[in-house]
Amino acid sequence: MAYSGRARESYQNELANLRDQGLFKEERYIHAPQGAEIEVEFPTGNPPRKVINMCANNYLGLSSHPEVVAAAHAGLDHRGYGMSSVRFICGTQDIHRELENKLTEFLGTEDTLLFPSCMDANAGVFEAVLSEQDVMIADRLVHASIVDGMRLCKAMQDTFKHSDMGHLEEKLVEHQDKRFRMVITDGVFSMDGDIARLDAIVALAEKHDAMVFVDDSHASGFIGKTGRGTHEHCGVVGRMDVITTTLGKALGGASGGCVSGRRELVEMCRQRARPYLFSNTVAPVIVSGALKVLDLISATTERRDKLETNTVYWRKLLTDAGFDIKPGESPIVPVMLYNAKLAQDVARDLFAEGIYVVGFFFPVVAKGQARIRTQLSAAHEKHHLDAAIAAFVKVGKKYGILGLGKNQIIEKYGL
Amino acid sequence: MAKAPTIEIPLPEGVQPSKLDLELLKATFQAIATLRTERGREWEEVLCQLERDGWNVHWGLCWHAEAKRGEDFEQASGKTLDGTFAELAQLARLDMVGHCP
Repeated sequence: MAYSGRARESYQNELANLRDQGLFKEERYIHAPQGAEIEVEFPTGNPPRKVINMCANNYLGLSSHPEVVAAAHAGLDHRGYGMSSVRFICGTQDIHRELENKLTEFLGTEDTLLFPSCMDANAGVFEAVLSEQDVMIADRLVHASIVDGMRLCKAMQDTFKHSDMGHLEEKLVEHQDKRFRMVITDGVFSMDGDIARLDAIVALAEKHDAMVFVDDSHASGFIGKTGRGTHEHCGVVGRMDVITTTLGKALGGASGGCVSGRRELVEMCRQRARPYLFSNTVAPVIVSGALKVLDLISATTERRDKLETNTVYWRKLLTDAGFDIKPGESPIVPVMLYNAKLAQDVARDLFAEGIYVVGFFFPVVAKGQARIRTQLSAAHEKHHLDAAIAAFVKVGKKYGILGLGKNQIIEKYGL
Repeated sequence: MAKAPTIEIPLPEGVQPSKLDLELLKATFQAIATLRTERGREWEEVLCQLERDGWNVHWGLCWHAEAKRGEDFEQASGKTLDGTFAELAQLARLDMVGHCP
């Protein structure tokens, strides 16, 4: 037997270490469709209980929208369950190209290619379009999938300090000897919810002859006046070279992602991106649902506007109650607690109060930056947020953190 | 496994080598030992095979640097110490804090 007792013991020890360090991830079983209120079995084996969900990426509340579900059913009926193929053999249906065209139009780009996920899009895009003669210059807080994609690419890797345009310009000047320069950033950063300064980045890139790449997974569908994303918010639609994004968050929340941008770059991905070439096509049922999502959000900004209203309201509720939050305008609202154990305890007590949130701490965020990441949805009604703040205040009082700033919380609980 | 044989070389009296000096001496002697003892072994067959397969192979001695922090591990190599450490630093910068999903 190849899986020896020594191997088993080694893995068991490693898993035990993760538990000891408080880093072990446990899944919680949800007995309901995704939504503002869900039924969660936690701890495992307990009867499911109804809680308000404040931690989903269901920004537009479309994950279980009846019209999306109906479109997915219709797609299942008319195009089947699976394609049993990669795209370039016999896995491309008319609806795949239709969705790519719609995404191109929605994002204001030249062409789009679907991937099984945005993780796959990011894993494949750099290697497909850059070589050892080029350089990638990434914001230091980009998503893990971008880091993985950069590691798979032979181009030189460099970084600039988070949102520091001066440092970015230094790097662009430093790498003028390279064939191509590509500036890489998230649109909305998932840890803090802050928005990339794409207008400044694009201006610098144009000045120093560089391409601009943005992962807009936490923005597509709701950031910007009509929800096109960070490039719309920053007034640079049409000036982006590569946008990657996901269908797994605001755009229906199922799965799938894409690379969208300059026609030649997208075509290079179609020819060379390994996650596209060697993994199965996005299932027809998901494509059909995503097409309906794009119809819905192109017809009206109602859901995006409601999300914005909810975000402003929730940020005000937390601020007025005396919580220390990361300022900003995105629906990612981190409640800062700094201490890892405190973040875990507060999340646990909030769950007991019927609010589903998760504590984030090292290594997911930097040491001493533990927090609870709350996320708003257009599916939230005012009464959900009022109930949530009541629970937050109750738990906040229990731990004596209301009105305390960073230094005071650290003084009280340590790091 | 038997311990690899080592040689000790007395330094001239009064010489206080820095850590860098010692690394340089060690690397130099290792390179000489490698060149003296490995010529004509498996690596030449590998090289020939690669060239038969159409690869244009360049090779030579280089600097190698490794950095470890917890579970993060990076390694880089290059023709110069500056180049090697620049590459190591770039790779290490990619080991940023965890990232939310």
